Amino acid sequence: MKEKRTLRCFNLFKPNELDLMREYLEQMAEKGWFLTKITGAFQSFEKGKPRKLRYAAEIFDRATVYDTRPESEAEDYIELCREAGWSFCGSYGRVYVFSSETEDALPIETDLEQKYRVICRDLMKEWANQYLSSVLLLLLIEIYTYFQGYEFFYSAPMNLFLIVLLGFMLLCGGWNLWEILHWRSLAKRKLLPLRGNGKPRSLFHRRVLNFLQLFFGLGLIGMFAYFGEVSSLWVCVGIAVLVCVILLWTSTKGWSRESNKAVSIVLGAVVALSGTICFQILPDKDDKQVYVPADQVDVSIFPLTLEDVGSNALAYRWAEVTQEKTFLAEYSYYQDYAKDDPNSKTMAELLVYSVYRSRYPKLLEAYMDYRMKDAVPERTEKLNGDDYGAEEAWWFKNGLLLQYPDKIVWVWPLAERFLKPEALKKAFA
Amino acid sequence: MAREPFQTLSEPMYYVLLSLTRECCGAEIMQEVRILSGNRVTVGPGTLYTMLAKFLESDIITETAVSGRRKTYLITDYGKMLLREEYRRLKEMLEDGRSIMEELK
Repeated sequence: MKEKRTLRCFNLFKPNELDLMREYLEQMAEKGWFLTKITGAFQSFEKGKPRKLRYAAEIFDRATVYDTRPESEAEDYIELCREAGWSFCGSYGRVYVFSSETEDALPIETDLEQKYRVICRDLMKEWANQYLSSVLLLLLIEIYTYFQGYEFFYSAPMNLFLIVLLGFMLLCGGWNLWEILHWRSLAKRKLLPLRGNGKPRSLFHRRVLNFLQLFFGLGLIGMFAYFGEVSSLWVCVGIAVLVCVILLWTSTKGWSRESNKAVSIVLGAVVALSGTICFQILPDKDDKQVYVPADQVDVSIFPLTLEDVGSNALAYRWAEVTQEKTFLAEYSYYQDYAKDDPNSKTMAELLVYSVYRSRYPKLLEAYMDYRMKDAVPERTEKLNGDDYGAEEAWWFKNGLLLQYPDKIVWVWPLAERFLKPEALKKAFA
Repeated sequence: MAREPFQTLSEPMYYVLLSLTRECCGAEIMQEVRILSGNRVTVGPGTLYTMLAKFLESDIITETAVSGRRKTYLITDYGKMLLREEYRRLKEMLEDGRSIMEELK
């Protein structure tokens, strides 16, 4: 078998783990793998004769995260380091990696206070980029939907999952912030080696953590896909994957800082634009309601037939069924008294006969409360639920609201022959 | 102008400016600092780069020659003034402590 001559590894080192990176590269050199190139979080190695080699990984403060190759200032920095006995191996963003054959080459950074200050600033910036903007955006969406009214909890299942996502991000962000602050306080008291929080964490440990984060993230996406807006979700995932691929591709091109910045700006605009267009075009929750001819509806869930509750003069009727997958499924029968046009849903002309079902009794209770808010006291009458085989029955505004353990039935406005509850009671009996 | 941060000089800054009283390139500065301080103070290339960039921005030093990526620097009149100020301050500190330190002996 031909021996492997090159190796590509994926290791993402945080700014406060640069000593861990240095140790990792030195260990690789002792095994005969020498760093040849860095592309983002990927390190390329080439096989050679195992030997001791000193490495240094430092943040170059004048570089930006957009740099995929050393800029002019960085060339001066590299030259200065070369004069001091360090040869340049590669860089990603603001991190520059050097190696030295000599044992007595001066450390690259001798002002440790300055070095820790730069690292702390980078950590905080990275943290703000990762969490703060996303959390703020989600929070704004939640606040907006909260003021939209009752739909907050049960009619928009995405909201619940946005809350789950928000909680997850707050948890991760909080933990991350605590780690940074803890590291900073340790760094202030005694200057730490740069290996996270000073505890020797093995690369295996890091990989397990990364895997768990990825696993949890994917699980969350799966949950979204199952309960929420499936099509929109996959568009989001698709866009995110595409952006990652494009960014990875541009990072191998070694373009200038300005070009990389421009690519980021253009990508941001394209993502925002395509996202907006996709969400406009793709069906949202309302469109997921399936309109089926009335004779194809599963009538077993309706306690009474449409003829029972409606008038005899039916011009057109259809049914609407929302997916059972959501938290609250709605099965509605509409009956148009006058028009043949199925798109005409003017309430005055309609009979709405809906059954709400949910796996979550709390949601049914919440829906019941919402309906009862519409009740006008003088036109509202509490009926005996037993007469309808229900737990509770209310008569108001020419409509009937029945609460069963597993469903809520709402009929409005009732046909004239049922305007007295007694007539309806007979029908249910 | 951002001259305020250099009201007092840190130890490495002081030695770097001392070494730049004659024209030096980066490697020579690092070497000179070690010699001047008797190996007590060392300035790594990363730290030196940041320091030189700040000095250049504040007109404390100037670039004298560029050959390829190799640059040489020299202290300016303003830099000399800062260095003299620092020297005077350090001397004063020494004088201020002298009587007390002699008593301690």
